[in-house]
Amino acid sequence: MLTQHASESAIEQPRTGWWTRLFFSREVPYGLAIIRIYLPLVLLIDVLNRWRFARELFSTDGAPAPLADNFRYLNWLPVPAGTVAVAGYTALVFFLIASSLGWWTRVSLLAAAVLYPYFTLLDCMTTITKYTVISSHMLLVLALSNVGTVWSIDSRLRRRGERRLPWSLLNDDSRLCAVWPQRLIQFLLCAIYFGAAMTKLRTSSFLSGDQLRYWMLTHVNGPHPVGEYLTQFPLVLLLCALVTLVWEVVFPFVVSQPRTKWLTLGIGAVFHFMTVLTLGLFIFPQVMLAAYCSFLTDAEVQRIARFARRCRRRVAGFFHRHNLRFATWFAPGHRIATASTTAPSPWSVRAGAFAMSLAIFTLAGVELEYWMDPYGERGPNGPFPLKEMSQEKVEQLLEPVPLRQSDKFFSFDLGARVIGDHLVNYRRDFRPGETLFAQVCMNQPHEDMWLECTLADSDGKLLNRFGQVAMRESFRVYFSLPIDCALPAGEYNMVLSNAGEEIMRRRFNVLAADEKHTSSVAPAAN
Amino acid sequence: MKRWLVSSFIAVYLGALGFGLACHTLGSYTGSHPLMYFVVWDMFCGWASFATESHIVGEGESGKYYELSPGPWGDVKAWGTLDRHNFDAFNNHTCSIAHNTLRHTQHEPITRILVLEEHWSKKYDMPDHLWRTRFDEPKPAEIPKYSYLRAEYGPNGEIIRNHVPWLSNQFSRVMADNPRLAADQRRGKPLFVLDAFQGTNPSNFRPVAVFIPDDGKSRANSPSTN
Repeated sequence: MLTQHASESAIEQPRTGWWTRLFFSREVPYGLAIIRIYLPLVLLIDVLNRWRFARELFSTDGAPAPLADNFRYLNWLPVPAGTVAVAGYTALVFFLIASSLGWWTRVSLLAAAVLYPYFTLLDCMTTITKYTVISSHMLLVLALSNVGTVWSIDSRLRRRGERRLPWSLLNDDSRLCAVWPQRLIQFLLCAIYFGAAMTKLRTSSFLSGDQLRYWMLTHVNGPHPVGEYLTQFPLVLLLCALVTLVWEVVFPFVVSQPRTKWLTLGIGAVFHFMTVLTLGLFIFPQVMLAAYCSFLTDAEVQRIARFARRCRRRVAGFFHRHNLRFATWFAPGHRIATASTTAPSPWSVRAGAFAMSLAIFTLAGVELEYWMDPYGERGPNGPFPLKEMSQEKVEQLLEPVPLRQSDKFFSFDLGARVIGDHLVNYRRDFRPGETLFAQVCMNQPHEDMWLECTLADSDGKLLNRFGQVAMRESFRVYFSLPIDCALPAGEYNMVLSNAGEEIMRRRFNVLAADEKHTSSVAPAAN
Repeated sequence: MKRWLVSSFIAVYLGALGFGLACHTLGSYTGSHPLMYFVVWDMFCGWASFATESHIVGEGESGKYYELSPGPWGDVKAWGTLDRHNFDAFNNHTCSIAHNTLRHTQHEPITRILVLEEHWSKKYDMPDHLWRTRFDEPKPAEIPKYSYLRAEYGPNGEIIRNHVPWLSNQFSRVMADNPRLAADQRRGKPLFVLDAFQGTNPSNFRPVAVFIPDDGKSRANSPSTN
């Protein structure tokens, strides 16, 4: 499936079976190296945020919430003691840093691939999510690959003493590796998008845009002002939902075509960036963008490198022409001066240094956590006292309140056009000959309801009354009112009622036939 | 040899991804094992029209109430501003959070632990400037909320009361709004049935009844399986 964009180096391979061509053609793993560098740094944001609470989240000295409990597999994973959990979590921080640097790459990645999912599985409330799962997959695949052969401390140590420019290493055949790790990450991405599309297909209210509207009003993730603003434009949400669904379904097919690969990935990058602005997601998009790097072939990296070299020469020339002191920083030969010519240390010394660093880092973490006293038990006054809650607040919380009629409704809007089952141009001024649509948006759950719309003039005099049933599964119903000569120019009210109670009221104007629209157009419109 | 090992790994890995996709697409076995979480991609599970915030409250012997989560030492803010216990959708772990706080704090003897929830329509979460463009009515200064007792535990964690989530309760009320359905339900339906379709675990009880307003008073009589 993904053979079409195998690199030029793969094309040079002798003709073999599809399995071999797909998984065992050889490339320099630049794409994987970018994932190896970037992914652990992204995960560190999450891991460091939780490090102070490691004892509470992941140990028997706290309140772990193993995911397996939700599946009714009690005691499926052992829960460590407090200090062991802190030591393990600190070691995870070390392994993620070492993985990013490419220091004992395989060992670091293997350890991270074990510790990271282990700790996430111990906290189903605030740690494990789908992006931690995707990251666990990628850490496992990276650990089994030869990703340390490029852009790593390991590769630099191995090549210590070789007096070569970094860019000349791009043509180094000794670093060619089988591409199966890239392919597995590519297949993983395809499965994720296809699975996500299946979820959306099974969620009918996603395809109407209603669930997106509620999601964009949900304050569970970070701030997302663009999403809140977009809730005013239901048709945009509907189109976004449909485009997302189509794109997720076709992703595996179009990303495998060389002509559409970059367009597909570009759309994906924009999509994930938009989830930052509209849904407040932060880590998830970065994990997915890291995974996109698996589609980079070594030929493409070489083209990017050539472009970067040209830019660098131009910048150096600019600085040189203007006699600036930074010119040497951009000179192509600048980095060779930093190349070391000392002989590499023996394997045992390097292993010892790594193990010693790990031990010191972990012990320092354990000591720091002890010193921070996360539960505040070793303070001068002993453990913290419990925080008291006000009696009134608790009594209020203990008093059940029946669902108000008004909270069964989300909004009541007037407009003149309905597209895709959404009112698209919210308006308050109507002209004779037009049709006024009154859209009632309802919150779920609600029972089958008889909704009544009353038309009244500015003095409150009843002019007309019409009603309809809103079924329990409905998110929206419409009332239509032709604006004709029976309604002379003036101000009117449309009043929504349910169960004898006025829910909302909207004022609108009927203009004279030759009168222009005034400024009382509702701002939210598509 | 190495090539065979790698090929085997590739086959197993792709097989696992394919199995997860098939299960998810067909809606089967997705909850059969914790590892299914690693191969089922249900990122968009749906969001309700009501927002929720929960409180874990301890009642002392003196009658005073105490906040048991977050603990006095603070709480991890995983993604936004919500505390950890708000993400326990199934109410499986609130009691252990409460006991952890009690274990590490000074306090009078606690007689009961309450899990209380507040719910409100998400339309009130709309920023003020957007509210003004959309609604003629002024935004309420205080958001109207719905309180709900989700669970009550004894001092040692024994379950005294455990209710279905508030939204499920509301859906039950909607169903019970149909008098014919409610009457049919009253006739000879047991409240629980041992669910043979959920494996051999005897703790898998499936509630088969929904809210039935019998005397005009609000009463939820469908206990949770948790």
